[in-house]
Amino acid sequence: MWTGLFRALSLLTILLGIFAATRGLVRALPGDPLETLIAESGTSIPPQILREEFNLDKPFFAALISDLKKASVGDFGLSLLTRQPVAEVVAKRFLNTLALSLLALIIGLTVSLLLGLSAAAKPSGLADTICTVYGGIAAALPTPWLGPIIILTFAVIIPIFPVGGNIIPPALTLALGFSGVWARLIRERVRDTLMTGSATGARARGVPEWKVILKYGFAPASAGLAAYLGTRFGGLLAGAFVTEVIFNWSGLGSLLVESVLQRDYMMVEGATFVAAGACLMGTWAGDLAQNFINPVRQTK
Amino acid sequence: MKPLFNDWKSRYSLLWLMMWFIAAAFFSGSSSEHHLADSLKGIHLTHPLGCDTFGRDMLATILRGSLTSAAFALFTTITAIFLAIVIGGLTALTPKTVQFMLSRLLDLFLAFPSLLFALGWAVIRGPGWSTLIFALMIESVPSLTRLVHVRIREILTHDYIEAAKNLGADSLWIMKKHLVPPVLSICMVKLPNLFAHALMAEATLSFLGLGAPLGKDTWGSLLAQGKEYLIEAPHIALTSGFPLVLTVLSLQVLSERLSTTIKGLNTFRKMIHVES
Repeated sequence: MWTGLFRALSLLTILLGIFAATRGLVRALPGDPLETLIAESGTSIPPQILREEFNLDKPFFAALISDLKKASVGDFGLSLLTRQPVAEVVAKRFLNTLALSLLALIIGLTVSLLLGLSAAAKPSGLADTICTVYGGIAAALPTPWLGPIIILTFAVIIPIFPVGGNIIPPALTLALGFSGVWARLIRERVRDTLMTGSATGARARGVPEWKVILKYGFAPASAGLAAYLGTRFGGLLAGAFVTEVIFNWSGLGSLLVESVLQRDYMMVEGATFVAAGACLMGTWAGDLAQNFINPVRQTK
Repeated sequence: MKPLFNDWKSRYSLLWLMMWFIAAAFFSGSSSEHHLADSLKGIHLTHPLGCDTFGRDMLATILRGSLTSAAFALFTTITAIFLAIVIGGLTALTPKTVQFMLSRLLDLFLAFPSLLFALGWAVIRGPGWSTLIFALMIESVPSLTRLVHVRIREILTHDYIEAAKNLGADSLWIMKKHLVPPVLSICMVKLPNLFAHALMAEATLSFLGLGAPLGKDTWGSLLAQGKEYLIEAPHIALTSGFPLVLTVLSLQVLSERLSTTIKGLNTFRKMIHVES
């Protein structure tokens, strides 16, 4: 219980750190932040209002505390360009990213589990070779190339999905990107646990092969795999960001890239905070899952 | 020890990399003049891969762009290795508290995708080469530093270091004789991998508009152009990405071969060490 509390506290500290870092972005601008901000974004909002909105009239820590107070009631300021509340836009876009990532996760996990487990079951069999080749090629395909190829495939060659707005092509792109590495990883881990001897014992007792693979291969390896999945959540999110830009999917990633290119500082601050927080939560969820699957580890 | 790269996979990989490099060097001086009459022209006898939006020959443009990308990737890879050796090596000799803090700091960098750091940097300094370099350093230096750090600490616990010290070797000698070779060998194994990562990152960031400055042809900017004219001229997207994929695949194969060979080498050394 104490470890849980300690973890929650350190998580909160890091979240605070991220918040401070994102709020510091504007202050890190070269020269006088306010002047640079106006010159770079070309905004027509009067400097006096901007100074107040970014709290540039206060020292950093005083500004941070007032920002924190506002953020705790869900006020992350207004967009420089559209004057919409940042929190509202970010929340809407984040849900879209979450939907995309979850669908990709389901597709990718299904593919990599099927491939990885069948490869682990029969070393140097057909599935093993497919796993190696697929893993190698999938890791070498850059998303900015794979995305357009998938658009081309589905829009021109086999027109099943409309080019814009459909969730399946971007999810496929994202899933293809990571499932190769995961399939290989699952294969290695499951093969390792199958070597420990319990599997041989089970086979000698006449346990059917599929049960041996699941119970003596996959189950012991699953805790470590869940934790790894959690640490890779940030990578998945980054992949989702690039995919969103390619498919014009209105998610957090396309919002971030647009805002950076248009120098909408308020939006960048809010969106970066949410993205970084999501990565942190992903790692944490992976740890929780690991402890849930293998409670012995927690008491150590 | 098996000879290095003595199988068909690594031979084809090396062949591809060399061919592409020679061709790119040959085309590096070719003109990038615009011929708008040929804009978006498809595959043709005079232009084997077609033309881009500005009517330039695709093959020459890709070759020129890939040379820029490769030069950039090589520069950042070597810088990353240098930084990792310096940081990882120096901190291996510091007190435990400093090492603990370093390890937490590396954790922090590894917990977030480098794309986020790059976006933060780009909004402050503006897109450009500096964003690309920053993003790549954030991506490669922490994990490599950890690798170097752990390896050095592991080596320092060996008896032969103690023996060398007792025989009167000074720290410079120990570093030269016992630390640098194994650390360099890890870095050499990692080199093709890091290089491939740098190429991919350049392509991704330039594609998003955060990397190479406008008007500079790189793999990423060509991919962006391909996406822009995907329906009118699919040949741009297809041809600009294909060599990148082949290059990354080749680098992967070489990296894999290199790591198995060096691993074999290390166990071989260990065997000799135990016997003598």
